[in-house]
Amino acid sequence: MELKILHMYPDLLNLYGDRGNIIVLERRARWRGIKVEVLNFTRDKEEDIEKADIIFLGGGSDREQELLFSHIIKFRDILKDLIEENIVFLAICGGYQLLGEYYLDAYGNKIEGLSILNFYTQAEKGRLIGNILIEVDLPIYPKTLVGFENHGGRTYHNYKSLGKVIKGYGNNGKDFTEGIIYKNLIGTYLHGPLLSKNPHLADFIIKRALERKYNMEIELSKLNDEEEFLAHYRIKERILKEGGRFNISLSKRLFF
Amino acid sequence: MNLEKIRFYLALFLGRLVYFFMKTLGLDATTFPGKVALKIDPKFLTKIKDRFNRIILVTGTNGKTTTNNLIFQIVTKSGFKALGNLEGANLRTGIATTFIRDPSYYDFGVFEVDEGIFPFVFKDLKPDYVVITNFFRDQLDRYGEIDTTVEKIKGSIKDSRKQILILNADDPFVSRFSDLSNRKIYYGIGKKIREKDTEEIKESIYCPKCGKRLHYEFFNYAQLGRYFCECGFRNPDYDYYIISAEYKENKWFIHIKDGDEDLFLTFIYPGVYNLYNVVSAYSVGRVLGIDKESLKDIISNFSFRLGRLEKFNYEGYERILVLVKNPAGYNQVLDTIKDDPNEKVLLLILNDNIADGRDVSWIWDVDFEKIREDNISAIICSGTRAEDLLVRLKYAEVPLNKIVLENNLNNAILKILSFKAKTYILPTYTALFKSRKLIMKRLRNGT
Repeated sequence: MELKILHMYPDLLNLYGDRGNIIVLERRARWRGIKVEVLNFTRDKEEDIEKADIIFLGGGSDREQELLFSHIIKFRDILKDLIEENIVFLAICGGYQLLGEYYLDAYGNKIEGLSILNFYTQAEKGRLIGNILIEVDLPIYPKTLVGFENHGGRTYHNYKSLGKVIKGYGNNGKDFTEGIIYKNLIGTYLHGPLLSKNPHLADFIIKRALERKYNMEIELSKLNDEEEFLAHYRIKERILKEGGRFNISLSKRLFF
Repeated sequence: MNLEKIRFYLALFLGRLVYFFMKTLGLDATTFPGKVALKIDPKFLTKIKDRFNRIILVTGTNGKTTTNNLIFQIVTKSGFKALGNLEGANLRTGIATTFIRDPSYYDFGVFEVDEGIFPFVFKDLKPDYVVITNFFRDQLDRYGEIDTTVEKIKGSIKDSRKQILILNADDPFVSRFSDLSNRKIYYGIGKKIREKDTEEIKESIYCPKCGKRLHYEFFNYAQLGRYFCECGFRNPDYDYYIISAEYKENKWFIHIKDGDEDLFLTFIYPGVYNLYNVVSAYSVGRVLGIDKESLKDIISNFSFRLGRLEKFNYEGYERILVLVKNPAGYNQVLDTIKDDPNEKVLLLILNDNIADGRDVSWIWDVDFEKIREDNISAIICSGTRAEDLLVRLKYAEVPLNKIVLENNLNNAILKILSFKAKTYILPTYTALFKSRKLIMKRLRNGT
């Protein structure tokens, strides 16, 4: 089997170790004998987006996101069609915000988004920073995702969310939702190497991508994930021990 | 005596009291006495300003402490009386503490300043010289993005023209300061030093003027190198630069170009990043009017304590302690390790306390793939986020049977020192002092 991962603007959208996700996807597929190709899509080298099985869009600094907008907007329709056709898509932080209609910055300026999905993001007072633990709404086990978030923008939407915030802020720090799920697209504020401590999510992405490509049910072979889950549970325990209020009560199934 | 003066002396007095108290107890008194003083007198720094005839501030992401120590030695060995925060406590509290320890009148204040709080310290101390080393991603959870940091520093300098800026011409971020109207001195390295180039994260390879991709003739260290853009943006012309350098027999042999003259000196600390520290401090020395030969002697004989890169000898093997705090610096250290032909062992320590940065995502921008197939016989991961390091190494495909997880720092140090091999110990900031202490303790008890 083969898998093509399209990394969008790795040279511009590369804040906070985002490329860790590509490393994790590539290795986990390769370790299972799947042939993986990573295509770097940049302003100078526009790869054929339609060849991709997985698209990754990370976050960048404001300046870098501004720089690329005039470029990515040309591919808006292709991206939208692919998402409608169930392409597996992972968008993180700034990349997630970019999929919406607009971003309202701290000065009230409306910065245009790709309008692939109908939601918006607005800057509000204070940045939402810290470790985050969520209960995920996907058919994966364990049910938790751990990560780190750091964003000034608050996102409001009516789609299905990636999960509920147990500790942390999530989409906006108000409604206890985190991220977005639309068909096979996942958007999230869990930035950086999200998949490294959440190998179950990485496998879900690989599995969905293969199923879409080969149009059949796929059962991924098991890998030894001892180290990954050691990191997952270590930080999860820490987050649970840290002070502060829980957003939702803990259900028993959260524990291993 | 007016109220402001009383407040100042009260702050100084209580700060000193706390300092001596902590000293007696053997506590690390590098910031807390200053914190007390600033609490009592928030204008404490403004008020110590006139105690210095001239003030030099060093800021940027990497190289601050080494550069600051170099400048301090240049100034003091040239006969001036100076005060500096040589141990790297570079927030307002650290600078205040430095003064509390030795309140007096000085020719020079030589302070390194954390890039995130630079605008505030700048306003308080109104320096005469500002040295900017480089900008890399470092602790973004505290400071936001590099652009913001650069713009804030630039904004704070903009309104006053009296400062002389000493700038790294090889960093496109730093050369953004070119349009300030201050007098500017540029330094850099005019040649590619390490031929074995490996792919590394480049912070910004986009032109700050027009946004197009910057072209590079070569890189020396992350995004530092010879760059140019179609719009005309390029490295500013050097005032002082390293024309060539070679590392052999455990030191750098450096050729500096100073106008038409050539200067040859040595420096005992490895890594290309140290070449930048040397040439920036050299430039400061020249701006201060110190003659070339003295600078040559001072730099060639330079050494300093503290784990920016500290060498110990334990049971006949070199044990090297190096602070790591961001991808650019970490990659440099890994290069140094890779270039070392000895059989060796590594202790990697990752903490996520506030001073380290609570977000450890940055380790995924470090190219641990570099040490995948190297002659390293064992790697121990330690610290509050040891597991994250372990996962990172797993995905760099470093053989897992070489790696040991040991969260307890004390045990990790004991374990790594028990190896009969050259040792590299790489802690993040809050693990540095503790590691150093533990090594010293072992040295005393051991042989």
